[in-house]
Order: sequence, then C-alpha cells, then structure tokens
Amino acid sequence: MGSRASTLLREEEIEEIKKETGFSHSQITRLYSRFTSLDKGENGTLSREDFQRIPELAINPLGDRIINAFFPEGEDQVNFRGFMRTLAHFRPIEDNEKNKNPTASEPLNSRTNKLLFAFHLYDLDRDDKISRDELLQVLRMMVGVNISDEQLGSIADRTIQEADTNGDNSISFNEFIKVLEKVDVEQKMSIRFLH
Amino acid sequence: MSSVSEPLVSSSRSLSATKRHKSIRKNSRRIYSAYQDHQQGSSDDEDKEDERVDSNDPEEMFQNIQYQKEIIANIRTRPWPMRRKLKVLKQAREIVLKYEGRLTRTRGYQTAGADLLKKLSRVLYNIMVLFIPWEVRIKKIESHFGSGVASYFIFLRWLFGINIVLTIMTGAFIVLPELLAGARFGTTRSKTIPKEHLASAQDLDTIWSLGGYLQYSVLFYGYYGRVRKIGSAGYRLPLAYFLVGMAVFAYSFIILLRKMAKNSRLSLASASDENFTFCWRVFCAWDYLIGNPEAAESKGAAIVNNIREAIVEEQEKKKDTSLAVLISLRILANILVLLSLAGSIYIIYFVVDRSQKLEQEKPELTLWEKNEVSVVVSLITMIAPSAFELVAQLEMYHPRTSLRFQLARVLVLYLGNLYSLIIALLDKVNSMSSAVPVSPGNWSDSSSFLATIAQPEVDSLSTLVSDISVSEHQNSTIATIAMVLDVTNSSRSSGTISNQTALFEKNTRSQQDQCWETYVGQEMLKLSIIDMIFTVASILLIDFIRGLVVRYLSDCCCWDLESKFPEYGEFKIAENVLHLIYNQGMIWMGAFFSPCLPAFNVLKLIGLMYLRSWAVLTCNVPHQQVFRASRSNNFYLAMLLFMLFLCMLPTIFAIVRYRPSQHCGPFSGQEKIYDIISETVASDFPLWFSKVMSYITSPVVVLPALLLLL
Repeated sequence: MGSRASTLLREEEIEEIKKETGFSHSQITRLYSRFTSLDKGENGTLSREDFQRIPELAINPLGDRIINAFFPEGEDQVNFRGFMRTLAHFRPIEDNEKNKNPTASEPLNSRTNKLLFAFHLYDLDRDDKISRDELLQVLRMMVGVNISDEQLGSIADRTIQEADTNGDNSISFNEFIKVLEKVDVEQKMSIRFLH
Repeated sequence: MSSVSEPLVSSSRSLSATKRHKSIRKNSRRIYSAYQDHQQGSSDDEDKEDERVDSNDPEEMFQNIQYQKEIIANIRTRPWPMRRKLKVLKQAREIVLKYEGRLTRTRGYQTAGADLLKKLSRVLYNIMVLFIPWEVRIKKIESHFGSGVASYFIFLRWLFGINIVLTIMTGAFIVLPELLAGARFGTTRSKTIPKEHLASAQDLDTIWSLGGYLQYSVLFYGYYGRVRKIGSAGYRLPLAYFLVGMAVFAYSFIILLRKMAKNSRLSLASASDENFTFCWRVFCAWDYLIGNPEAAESKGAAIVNNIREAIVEEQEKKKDTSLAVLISLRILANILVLLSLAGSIYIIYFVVDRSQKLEQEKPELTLWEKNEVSVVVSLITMIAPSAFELVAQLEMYHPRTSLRFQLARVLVLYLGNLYSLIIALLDKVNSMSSAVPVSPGNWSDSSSFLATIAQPEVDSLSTLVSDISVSEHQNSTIATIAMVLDVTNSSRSSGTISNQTALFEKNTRSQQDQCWETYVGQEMLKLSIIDMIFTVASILLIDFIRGLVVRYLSDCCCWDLESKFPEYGEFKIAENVLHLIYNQGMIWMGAFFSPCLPAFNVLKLIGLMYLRSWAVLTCNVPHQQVFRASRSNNFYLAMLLFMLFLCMLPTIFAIVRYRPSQHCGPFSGQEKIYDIISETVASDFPLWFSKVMSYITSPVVVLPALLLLL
C-alpha cells in the first residue's frame, strides 16, 4: 500500500522506534524532520560530513568521537533507525522507569547504557578497556598544544592509577562506572527533547 | 472481524505527549491504537481482544481519549484504504463519546495548564539568568585566569548584593522619611549651618573634609530630628533609626551565616571523595552545551588551567626539604611579621595622637595635617601586604597554605589599623561628649558673674538658675531667664543680662556643633573616600604603568623586561579580598552614624568592579603557579564574619557607653541611645505591656532563662 519512498516515515516504523527507544510520537516526528534537514544528499542516510556541519559538534574537541559513535562498526552511513538509537541514550531518565519490570531488557537511556555510550567514546579499539594511549589521545584532543607531552603522560598515568583496581593498567567498564559513581550522569547526559 | 474493534496494538510503550511528569504507562496495552500489526494471525486477534479491558484508571482513560482525538485529527493523512479509515474513525468517535463524559473537563485544562506553567517557568528562568550582573565578565576572567581570581570577583558581587539590601533598608526607613516628612534644612538648630561657617561652607576645603552643606545633610546622624513622630502618619523616626541600625547588623549576620552553612553543606557533600579528581578532569571536563567558538575557546583555556592546577597539586605533594631548616625559617618569618604589625599599630596611634594635639594647638591646619591620619592608614594598607608576601617566600608552604597565612596576616594588620583608629576616635568622642556637662559649669560661671553685678533679687535668680542648670535644657533656661527678667522688671540688669545671653548663646552654639556622632560618621566616610582614591591610584599607577613600562620599554632596555625583573603583575588575590573585607568592615562601623554610607559603598563597589576587571584583563597575566581556590569560600566568609563581629563592637560600645549629643540627632536629650526603646514601650504600648516587659527583664526571669539556655 502506497509507495515505499524511503523519505517518508511510516506508521509502523514510528511504532517500532517508539518501542525500541521510548520516544513519543511527536518527538519522533520532530527528530525525523531534523534528520531530513541534516541529510543534504537526500538519500535517507547521514554521512560524517553531514554531522560535521553542526556547529556545536564542530567546535567540540571530542566532536569526532561523538560523530563516530553514531555510525555502527565499519559503516559510513547511518539511517534514521540508527540515528534514533544513538539519540535514545540521551533521553532523560524518568522516575517511573525505575520501578518497571526488572526482567525486561534495559531501555537505551538507563544509566548503565549512558555510561556505556560514554565509555565507547574513549575506547577506540573496542576492546572494552581504556588504555594509556587512548587516554593520551583524548587528553591531547582536549588541551591542544598548550601542555607538554610528559605532563600529559603523567596525568594519564595518574588517572589510571586512580581508577584502576585490578592492576591491568587500563580502565575497564566496571572501573569506569565506579569512577563516575558520584557524577550526576543522568542529568549531564540528558537532552530535554521537546515534545 | 469483530464489529466493534480492530485488532489491537501490542505492548508498545508510549509516552503521552501531555504528561511529562506522570510518564510511561505501565500497561499501555490499554491504549487503543489503530495500528494494524503485520501479523494478523487470528491468535493475535483473540489475545488482543482480551486486552480491551475497560480501565477505570482516569489517567489511562484520559490518555486514551487524547490519543483517539489525535487519530481523528490526523485520519486524513493516513495512507489507508477508505474502508479502514471509516472504521477507525467510527471507533475513535465512539470511544471519545463514551468515556469523555466520565472525566471532568477540567482534567484537560489542568494538564494543559501544568504544561504551560512548566514552559513558562523555564523561559522565566532563562530570562532571570540574564539579569545576574557581570556574569559574562566573570566567566571571561575565570576562563583566562582560573578559579582563584574569579572567586574574588564573585565575592565582590556578593558583597554588592548585601550592600544594596543595606542601602534599601537604611534608605527606605530612615533617609526617605526624613527627607520627605522631617523638618526642612535650615529650620532647626541642628540643621542649619552656623553663621560663622556659612561663609566658608562652599569652599573646596570644607567640602573635602565633609563640612558645610555635607555635614548638615542626610548623610550624617546630626541631621535627623528628634521629634518622636513626624509626618501626617506619625512615623516614629528615632525608633526607626535605632531599629534599622540594629537590623543592619542582624541582617548581615544572618545572611553571612546562611551562606557559610550552604557552602559547608556543599563541601561536605563533595569533600568525601577526593579520590577521582583526575578521572573527573579527564572524562567530565567538557561542557557540551557550548555553541559558539568563543565560548569554546574560553572553555578550552579553562580546561588547560584546570589541568595545570592539577599538575601543581601533584608536584607539591612530592616536595620535601629538611625539617629543621624549614622550622627555623618559619619562626624567623613570623617574628618579622609580628614586628611589622606592632610597628604599624604604633605608627597609627602616634599619628592620630599628633593630629589631636595639632588640632588643639593650631587654629588652622594645612591640608596634609587634616588628612594625615587617613593618608597614613591607606599608605600602610597598601605597602605592608607586599612586604608580607616577600617574607612569606621564606616559609615555603604549599601555595594555598601560604595564601591563607598571607590572608591571616593582612587581616590582623587591617584590624589593628582599624582598631587603633577607632580607639583614638573614641577618645575624642569621650572628650566631646563629656564636654557637654561642662556647660552647666560655664553657665554657673556666668551666673556667678550675674550674681556679682546684680542686686539682691539675684539670690533667687541664682538658685533658680542652678536649679534650671541641673535639668539642662538651655532653650528653656533662656525662656525662664526672660520670664524672670519680666518678673523682676529691672531694666538695669536686663542690659547686662542680654549681654550675658548673647555670650551664653555663643557658648551653647559652639557646644551644639559638637555632635560627636556626626564626627564619627564624617571620619568613617572620609576614610572610605580616601581609601577609594588610593585604590584607584594604586591600580592605575602600579599595575597599569607597570604593564606599559614592560610592554613598551622592553625594547630599549638591556634585559627582557617581560620575563625577568619587573614582568607583568599578577593579580594578588589575598590582598584584594582582604581589602574588600576591610572596606566592608568600615561600612559596618560607620553605618549607624552615617546612614548613607552603604549607598556610597554600593557606588564604590560598582566602580571597583569595572576598574578591576578591566585592569585584570589588560595588565595582569595568569599566575605561573595556578592552584585551585578552596572549593568552599568559607575561609573568606569566616574572615568576614570575624570582621563583622569586631566592627559591631565599637558601635555597641558607643551606644551603651556614651550619652548622645544634646543638640543633634534623633536621640538628643536622652541618657543613652537605647532609652528610645523603653520610652516607646512605656508611652505607646498598652499599659500591661510595659508591666510585662519590666517583669521579663527583671532578674527573676532572665536568670532562669539563661540557665535553661545553658
């Protein structure tokens, strides 16, 4: 029924996305229009250049990493489903969700999943560990050229020393969670999507 | 296919558009949706039919209704066959009709209202943030110079807020009523410039020493009338004056303590975990809400500073020197500091003493001599802190500790100065206020003179006069004398008596001008003005000229000025914060005697803020060694509290100890300033109240209460 132009958002898709991510109907429609406005090539997918056109990402030192997080392993294009899946991590956690059925799978915007998203920003090679080199790369991105290499190295060492509990000289996901225990991740990694 | 319903939706969780705070429905199966599942197996149909339960939950029903209405509205846009559309429409309409009656209509309005309110409050909050003064300025300074320097400006802004409140308090309750409803300038004795001063009232000299028109204005205590009720509404000005004076201190105390409590709560909450500071710096540093490039640069600079601070902290932990040398050096440094403190106190005392002697000896003082005291005090406050800093280099503490030591020392210096000034002032006040009872002495002189020239009637006259002198109302004595003159009706003595009254008037005039409260107020205001001038001068001369010299003369000088000796100045946080505290202490000391002092301070702080922020960005460089300012500013606040307490003491002392001037101010004629309270209670409150008050304040009640509190 009807032509399946990939630029139109169908009802079934909306429902599926709703199920997977928890966004509301109007939020999904609004985000879809944002998606299409970013998609200059009009082929229903976004590429890295499309993301880099966003000014806030462009000036962010970790912008490249974030853009990377949208694209699944090894691919160069992301469709709307993938877009929404990534954005779902940033949905605010609502109180009712905490009492929900514990056996159901965790929603994408739970605290653990948010932290996992952040973890993947730093863990480039996806080996579930942040090594010293990866830390150095991140630090270098953040401070530019203002601080010398050995100083950065000592900071990276000190960071790992603080967080590492099992002595493997790198930060695993559990250690990462422990480090950010007191940080209000729910609030910092949440975007108030308009309704 | 059933006639009434369509196959229903599966368990999709949906957020209601209207309920942000009551969010996801747990059993969203009850929401009827027109979505047709792909799998149209009959088993699904049957399952879903069971889910079509009539829910009694008003929430769900309400959501359901909204959803159906949404469907009705959008039905045209759906790419469905016509038959399906009609079915869905019919179903939706039915549901709406059936259930809407059950709910009150206000439900819809309620949630819509709550929504609107939330949106409105968010917009309002955004607008309010715009009104925080100088926020952009401070953020810029923070990103370039670090949190230590920025804390000075934040502190200044907070003091500005306090001073505004104080200004409003004094302005609204004291100054305005007096301006609007009190006696006009020139009507009463305390409000007119005496004849001999009128000629010089507009000289620059007089204005500089706050005499002339400034002295007889709302600026100072002496202007306020003692009439118990002024204006058509009967505003009790003297009572208000006293109460506002006390309220100024009370308010300052309360707000200071509240802020300290808030800060300590914050620091307690986060102080427990110093463990992951580095991790936090690495992982949580960037602010993702930054949108424009300039802010991104600032934030980047801030991160760099932050990391530098962290490096310094680490290095400090690793330093170590031999213990014995360290301790002896520190002892030496402390001895030096103590010597200089004692020296400064002595100098000030000496100068004040000298100025008092000069005043008594010479009739006309030069400009230097008049302002000697203030100038010397300001000079000391400018030079001594730098000396302390040099000495502190001997001690080799962690920068934050040495900053604290520096602060403590400079604080003691300022307090010493202020106190020696106050003591000298109070000495003078003592002599002034005890000079008033001398007038009966004068009067008895003139009465004895009268006795020698007059005849037998004089015996009764002198006894009359001595009786009258005890009561000490000069105006009425003059009236009584006139009455006595009429009674005795001796023209011969009237001539001499009129001469006497002329002489007497001159004496009383000079005593009337001796308004010690105004004098104290004048001194405080003078001190504040000169302090401001010196501050501005020091910023311009020291920082600015230094910057210019280093920048432009380094080409023609043999060594590189920018990295060796003079260099660009660094922003001295310690002294500047203490200077602010000292400034505020002056205001507190003088606020009772000069109600416009907080207003003046507001202007001073505004000027200071703009001048300093400009100077910091233009002439200073960030510290080479950057250390994080202590996270709670409780240290500064504790010092401010200490200052407040100490500056309250002289005022309280003056209120309790000295009698108010006879001829000026709201409390003239009373024994003590606080008598106003008992007077009001006695006269204006119902009778039983004063009885109750006297019971309460008697030892019978006070002692057990004290014991109880203990």
